[in-house]
Amino acid sequence: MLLTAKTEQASFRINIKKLRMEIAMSEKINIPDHYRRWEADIKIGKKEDHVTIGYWRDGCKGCGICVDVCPKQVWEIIEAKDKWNGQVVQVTDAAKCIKCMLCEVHCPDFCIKIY
Amino acid sequence: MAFEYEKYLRMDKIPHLWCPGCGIGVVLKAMLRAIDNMGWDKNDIAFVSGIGCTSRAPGYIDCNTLHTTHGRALTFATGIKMAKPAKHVIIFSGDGDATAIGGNHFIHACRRNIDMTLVVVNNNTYGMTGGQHSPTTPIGYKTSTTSYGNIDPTFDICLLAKAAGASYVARSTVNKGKVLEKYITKGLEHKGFSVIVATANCHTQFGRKNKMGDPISSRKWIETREIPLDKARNMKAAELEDKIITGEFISEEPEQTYWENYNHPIHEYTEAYQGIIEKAQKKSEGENK
Amino acid sequence: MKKTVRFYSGAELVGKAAIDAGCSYFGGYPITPSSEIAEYMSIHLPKHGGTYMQMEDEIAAMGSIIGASLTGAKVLTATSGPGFSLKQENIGYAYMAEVPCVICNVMRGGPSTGLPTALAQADIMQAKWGTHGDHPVIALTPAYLEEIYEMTIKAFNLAETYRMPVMLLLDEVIAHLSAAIELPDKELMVIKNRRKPLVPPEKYYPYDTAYGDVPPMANFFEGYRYHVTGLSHDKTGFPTTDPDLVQADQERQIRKVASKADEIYDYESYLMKDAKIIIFAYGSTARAARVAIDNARKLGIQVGMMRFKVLWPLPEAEILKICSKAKAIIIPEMNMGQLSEVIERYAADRTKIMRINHVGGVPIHPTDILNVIKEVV
Repeated sequence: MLLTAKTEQASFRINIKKLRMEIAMSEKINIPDHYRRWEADIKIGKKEDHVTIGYWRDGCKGCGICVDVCPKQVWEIIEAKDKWNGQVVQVTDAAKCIKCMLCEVHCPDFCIKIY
Repeated sequence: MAFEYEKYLRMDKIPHLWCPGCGIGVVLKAMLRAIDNMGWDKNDIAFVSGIGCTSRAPGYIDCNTLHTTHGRALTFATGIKMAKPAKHVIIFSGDGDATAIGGNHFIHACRRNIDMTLVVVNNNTYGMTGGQHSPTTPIGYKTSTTSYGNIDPTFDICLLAKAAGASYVARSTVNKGKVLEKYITKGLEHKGFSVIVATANCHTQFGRKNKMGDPISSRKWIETREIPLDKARNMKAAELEDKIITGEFISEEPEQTYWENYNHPIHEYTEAYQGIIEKAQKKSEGENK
Repeated sequence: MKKTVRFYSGAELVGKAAIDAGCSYFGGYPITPSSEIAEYMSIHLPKHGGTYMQMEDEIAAMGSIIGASLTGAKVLTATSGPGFSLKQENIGYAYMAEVPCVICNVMRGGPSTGLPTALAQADIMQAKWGTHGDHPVIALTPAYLEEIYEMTIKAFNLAETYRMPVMLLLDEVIAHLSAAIELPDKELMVIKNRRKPLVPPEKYYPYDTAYGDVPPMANFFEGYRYHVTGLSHDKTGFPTTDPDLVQADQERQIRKVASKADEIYDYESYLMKDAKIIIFAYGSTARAARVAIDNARKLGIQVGMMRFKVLWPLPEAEILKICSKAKAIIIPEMNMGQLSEVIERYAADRTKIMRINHVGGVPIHPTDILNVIKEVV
């Protein structure tokens, strides 16, 4: 795990929640600038974590599989007049995400990145 | 942690040509994760395919890729593997490509137990040519050439592979991307001919004619028919009609009876041929003395 | 120089020449009368570290040699009429993808199962037009055992130089002929290899026309990761439907052989200088024709022969010249006039063309040819 000088100092901080957030942000998150991006602090069971969701709208064909497989209704279909299928998706609330990775694994078009 | 698919893709060719929601995209991603699990160099991998929607997959992968004639992918792949046994050869094929026109090559590649991995994406139809029926189209369903309902019986590709001699056979579906990744990884690791069948949805051609013309209902149709192999093993054939049996079809136990485990692979072909070369060279040295 | 004389059959010579040319992969299937080539390769290729694969059918054999050739191997397959018909789709693939390979067709009586153990020369048009679509063609027709050795090596050289499948057409009788012959020293034979790219992988295009009509060819697994397909493609190797690109690519493929036809033609002129009657022949019929010519010359008839060693491409300019000067042309063939049709198209208005077409399986006898010569006189 990559630790910057800043997070080395953070390891001495008593606030564990801030520590986790900084560790998450120092992880190599490879999301190109033209992707849409959502960030949220999340809770997986009792564990606290942070999620960064990257979404590539240009590649999205609006198939709706991510909406269907997500156990937490994080994704939703929205209208997209510029798309052949007439629709794309977006994140409703990233805080609901539990990083099950089902959307990323089952998106056929490489449009989703979950960090 | 997100998986970096870009490392293995020809990104200038993405977005790919498959329909929105097509199962082949999911299988391709499982394959890319599997080759990453193996840690191979991209230069040491060759992808070979025949003709069809599935066979377009290698064009998107940044390795040595070969898009051949309909049904003949396994023959080209055999040539590549026998010429360069140390390299890795992976084949993508559709159900029609592998079991109809390519049927003969399918059973012989299994028989030889040559160290390659074949992924058959079974979407029960010939998708690219407009949804005609294939040897895996279930009985009764409508396709562009079975408007009165299909009467052609189907192959069970896994049992076919197993009987022909493949030494690792598994099936999963596009609803279970991580399981596909696991099976493909095991197939790549396995030294011998591996066949992984990925049951996929073709909602645009097959689904549309059978009242499931969108990805979600087509995927549901697959999901509701899944039965794990352990459960199916002792069920009657009539109960298993139109079901998808998932799991790994080869058992490690050597003590199975003839009927349970018809074949046992004798050797892997490229290794055995290496033995031939050594024998021939030894004989040749003897003659020259 | 030490001379080695050994007893060889035509089939063995194909195999020996292939190995001497550097062939390291043979994909085949048993079919009379070419099975002996497969048998020879199965014994001798592994001795040189090569691979002999007996595939499940003819189509698989052709597919496997294309796959092996893409990894850099020199490849050979051997078949006869019915197998040649089966291989056509994959032969077309080799043309489209520009993959070097040598296909040896030991011609037998046809069509269909025909006369499996009898002679014919009826596949010469199929060698030219067997597969669908337009493509160039190079076909060699040796007539003598020493020639089989030399022309097989030449076939490999042509395949590598022009990056295409090359047809080696043997008559059944020549493949099964055995004699004590003296072969040239292996080291004296010129071996040509495919041109490798000089640019790094990022700059490499598999069908790049910047280096002439024949693109340099990178092998799989050597750092050049490219795409090979049977779809019409552009210089990157990826499919295209752009009409201009497809047109240009097809024209280049035809041109790569047509523009170098002068270097590819190979024929033997026998007693042509003062000949009034010319015989056009190839393969085993040319051997009978030679005897007939010798006998005719004894009778004072001025007759000569042009024997094609490379049948396609035909040396058209030479043929036209000969047709203009000749009193008559005799074309003995073991088919229903496949070459005659072509020559008639060139020359029917210039001279008289006589066909000798035997398809019963028995070779044309020199007397048959002599009788026709006498008829002309």
